[in-house]
Amino acid sequence: MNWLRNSPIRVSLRGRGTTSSPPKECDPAACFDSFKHHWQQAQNIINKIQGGTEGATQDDILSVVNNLDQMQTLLVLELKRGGREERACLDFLLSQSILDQLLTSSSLTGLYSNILRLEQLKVYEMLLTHAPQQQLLLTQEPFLRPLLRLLTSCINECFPADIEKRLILLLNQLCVCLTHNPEYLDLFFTESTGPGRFVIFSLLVPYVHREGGVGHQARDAMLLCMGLSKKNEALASYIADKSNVCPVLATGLSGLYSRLPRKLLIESEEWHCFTPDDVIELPELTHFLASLEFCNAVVQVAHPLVQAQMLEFVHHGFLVPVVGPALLQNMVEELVTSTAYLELFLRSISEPGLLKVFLRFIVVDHYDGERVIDKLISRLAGKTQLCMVTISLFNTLIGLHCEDVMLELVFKYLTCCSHVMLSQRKRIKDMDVYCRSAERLLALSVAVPRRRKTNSSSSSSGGSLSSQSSQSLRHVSLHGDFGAYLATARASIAATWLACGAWTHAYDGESPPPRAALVLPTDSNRNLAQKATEESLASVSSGYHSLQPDSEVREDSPLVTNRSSAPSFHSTPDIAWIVSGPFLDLLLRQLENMMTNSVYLNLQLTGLISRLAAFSQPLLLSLLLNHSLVFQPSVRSLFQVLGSLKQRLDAYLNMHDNVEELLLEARLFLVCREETLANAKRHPHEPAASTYAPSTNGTSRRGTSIADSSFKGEAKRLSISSALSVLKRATQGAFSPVREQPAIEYSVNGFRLAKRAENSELKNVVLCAVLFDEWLKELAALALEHVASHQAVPPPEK
Amino acid sequence: MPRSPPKRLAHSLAMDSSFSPIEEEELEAVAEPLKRQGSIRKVLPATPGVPDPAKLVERTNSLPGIRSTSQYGPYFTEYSLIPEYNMLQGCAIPGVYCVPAANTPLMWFGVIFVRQGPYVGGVFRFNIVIPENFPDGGCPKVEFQSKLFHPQISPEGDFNIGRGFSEWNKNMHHIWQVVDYVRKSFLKIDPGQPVNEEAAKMYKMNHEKFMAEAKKCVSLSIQRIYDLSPTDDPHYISFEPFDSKTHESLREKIYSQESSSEDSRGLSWVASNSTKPFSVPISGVIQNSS
Repeated sequence: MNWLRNSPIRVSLRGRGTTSSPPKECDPAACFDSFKHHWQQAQNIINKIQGGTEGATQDDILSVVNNLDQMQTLLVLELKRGGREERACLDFLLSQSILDQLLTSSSLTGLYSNILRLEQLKVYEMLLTHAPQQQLLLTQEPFLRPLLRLLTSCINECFPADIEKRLILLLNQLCVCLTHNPEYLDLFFTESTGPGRFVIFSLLVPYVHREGGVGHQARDAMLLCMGLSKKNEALASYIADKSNVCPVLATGLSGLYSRLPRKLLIESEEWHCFTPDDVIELPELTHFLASLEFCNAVVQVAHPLVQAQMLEFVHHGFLVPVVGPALLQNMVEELVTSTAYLELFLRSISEPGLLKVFLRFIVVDHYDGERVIDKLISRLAGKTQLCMVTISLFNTLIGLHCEDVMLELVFKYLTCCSHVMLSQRKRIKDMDVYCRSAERLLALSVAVPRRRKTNSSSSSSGGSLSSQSSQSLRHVSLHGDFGAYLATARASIAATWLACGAWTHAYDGESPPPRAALVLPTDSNRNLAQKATEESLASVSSGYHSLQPDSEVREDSPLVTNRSSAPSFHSTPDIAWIVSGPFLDLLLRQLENMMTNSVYLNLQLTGLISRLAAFSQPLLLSLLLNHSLVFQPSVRSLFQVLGSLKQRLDAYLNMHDNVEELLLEARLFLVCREETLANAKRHPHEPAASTYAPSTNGTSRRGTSIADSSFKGEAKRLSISSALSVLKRATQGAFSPVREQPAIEYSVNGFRLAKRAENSELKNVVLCAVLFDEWLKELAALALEHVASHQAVPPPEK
Repeated sequence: MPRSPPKRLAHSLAMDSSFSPIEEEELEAVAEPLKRQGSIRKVLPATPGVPDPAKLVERTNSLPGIRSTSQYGPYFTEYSLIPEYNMLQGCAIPGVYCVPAANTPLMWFGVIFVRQGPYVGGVFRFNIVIPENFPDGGCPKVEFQSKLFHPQISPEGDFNIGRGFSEWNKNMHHIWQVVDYVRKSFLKIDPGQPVNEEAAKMYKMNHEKFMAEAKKCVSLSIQRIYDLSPTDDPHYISFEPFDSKTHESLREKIYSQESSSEDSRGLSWVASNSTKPFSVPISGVIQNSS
């Protein structure tokens, strides 16, 4: 035992544990005598049990436990003392093979075996905690041998909670110890545990989905093992080939997924993705995400062998059988939920390997010949909640800046260069050095009709409103602050550029060469086009009717123009789809409906297109932001769509009075919304409280409440868009005169509640016009910053 | 697929540039960041400083309203000049360094180190003055601050840029070409259509005397190299004798920056010879660092 006698750590131990340190007068020699005495007593009973025929009685066991407790106390005293004294008790414990004897006896105690097992676990745990240089204990046969036997005996056993707790704690300790001393790992692969078996890991697997502290500790320990596997082939092959951890984790995901609510009761029109608050209020979702994040961590630290297995099982055991069907079912409400889940999952994982499996599943996997991504794209059409969450999903997908996804969505079609006139192809890489595109974009700004000032009494009150709110706007508004748009554009272009650093192709019309990327019109492609066209047409008209409940369709309304123009797309949808791809085509088509879309849908939509416009790959950039490139007639370019929108907006606003007033209100609404969101982000738990006086009665959350009807049937109040209620407070608190104005109502109640349908239609168009204007600035800023960030290389001299 | 990174726009190094004229190599090493980091983004007076995106809401703002694009004029000028400056950087014209003034994007400070020809060894300062309605207001002017006896430079210091760019064609001409033209005019003397008749005549009639005059300009330029800045613009290029205490660490930083390799990050599983998603064979599972 000289490793203990001469241990330098002993000295350092002296300083430890001042509060619980043993009394100084405690005599080591007396302690040792006492220790031996207690063991003697315990041993007598054990021998009696072993020799006898009746088995152990409760008194016997109690007596053994009492003696063992005393021995542990003495051991702790000795180990904590840490002086020059001999480690007499520990030496005795090891030299007498006390641990072996305990183990043997516990197997004979029948009913009481768990009690002794618990005692043993405590002894090991205590030794590992208090022994100096605990790792050297592992090299002691009298310590390791019974430990391994004890652990092996625990496999496939069900234990009461107290033993589970001790067991996992001990396993966790061992894993920490091994992580610091990986050279001792081989000691745990012995004949006694079965060939190639790593008993610590086998014991952890059943606890991996456990909630609470035990589960947490088990997962921690397992991650340590996973990390160890990276450098230890034996361990890696054990985990991958012999343990069932990968299928357990993957099917665990499936199990937890099935417990998630299938329907969300979404009251807010604005809701499009799960916020952290939403997740907190859905315990099932929190639990699922913890498990998913654990898988993410495993893939991150484990040996490639384990990693590959893990990914394989996530794919075949979770994504294909569970997530796929959830995304392809027919119940719209459930589709909304599963789409939002998928979006959340993509946001929650970070490990490239795991991301790849998810993305591959979305892009490549077929269900009856139909790919997940095709289905998702087709849902971009329409005005429903499903469309909102789908746009949000694509926003996240594109935000990953994964070349494969962008290739599938966009570049697969654009690399053919069939969207550009042949003569224009060499201009794809041209930079717009003199800001013409930005100029053109800003020139599309909506023209405000300045004529027709009415003098009615209502407008005079409106006049005071306008002066007051413009005052407020001046303090908080972002409107017209072009510098802010430029800064945001610069940051987003730089981030996108960096994130595309590992891309294989440049997508500049030359790499990959146009010929290499011919996409032939497949039947499924055509069907998809057809279907989406029908869907979008249906939703255009239904959306239109929802605005006019009296079904008085005024044919002279400019809103109708998009309906009448729709059939022209209808006749040639597949050509446009083959040329620029269904994704871009549907987005731009959706954009054409901007005047009838809700403001929230428009915010999502414009946000997604802006995200696309931050990519600097010339093929995409030229399609979105080059004003002078000549495209094939069948191709919708962003400039075309914006131009026609401007015309319709101008025409519509020209037909109405008081538009200026409404524009101001709409701006106020957007500014308040923006501020509320910013505040909510800054103080997630006390939104806007510091800025605005808190409402006295605690305005109830008007946002989304989610009813987990399929599972528990009880409705849950959620704060999904608590932002909106804060918004209400904000508008009431900061701009009190506004409260009387019905106009601001649509910020909280939604315009549908407004009785005068026509008025609400006008308001929606006005909101759209303001949004349109701001978006033009955003796009112009992107165009400018693209030129500024482009490292132009001048042509070589002649 | 190597591509150039987006410009990092910093304003730090440009203002206290100060170095020894003795060893040109060293000098250029220090001058390098001028080229790299000088920014013209912030220099526009009409620009409401670039805001911190985190504080978007806190900023005050002008009147709301839907406006014409004319108010964006200064932005367009500035953003038309940024690519011009980027192109100049891309050219790396030997011996010439330019940085836009801090107070206006329409003035660029320049300095040229002449490496051969009659003016070899000279360090001459010049300003590039860009017309307000660039790219439409004609050719930028080049004004030398150093006294120069040169057929194409007037006694007042105005460079005869019209000799090279009789008419400014914005689709063909760029500022880097102006700078390159200036550089070349010191290598091979062009006495045609002079703005300094005396210099042109002397170049043709008395070559040796001309060479002596050129030498005088060179030594004068070296004498005056540490002259104090005539302007309070922080981007004005000024020099200081090399002092290892002040400059050595900076120089090391510059050299170490050169060697730092670009780490490629991002998600891609597209094989190099393919245009199919996830075409990289399974063995190369992960391409991502971090």
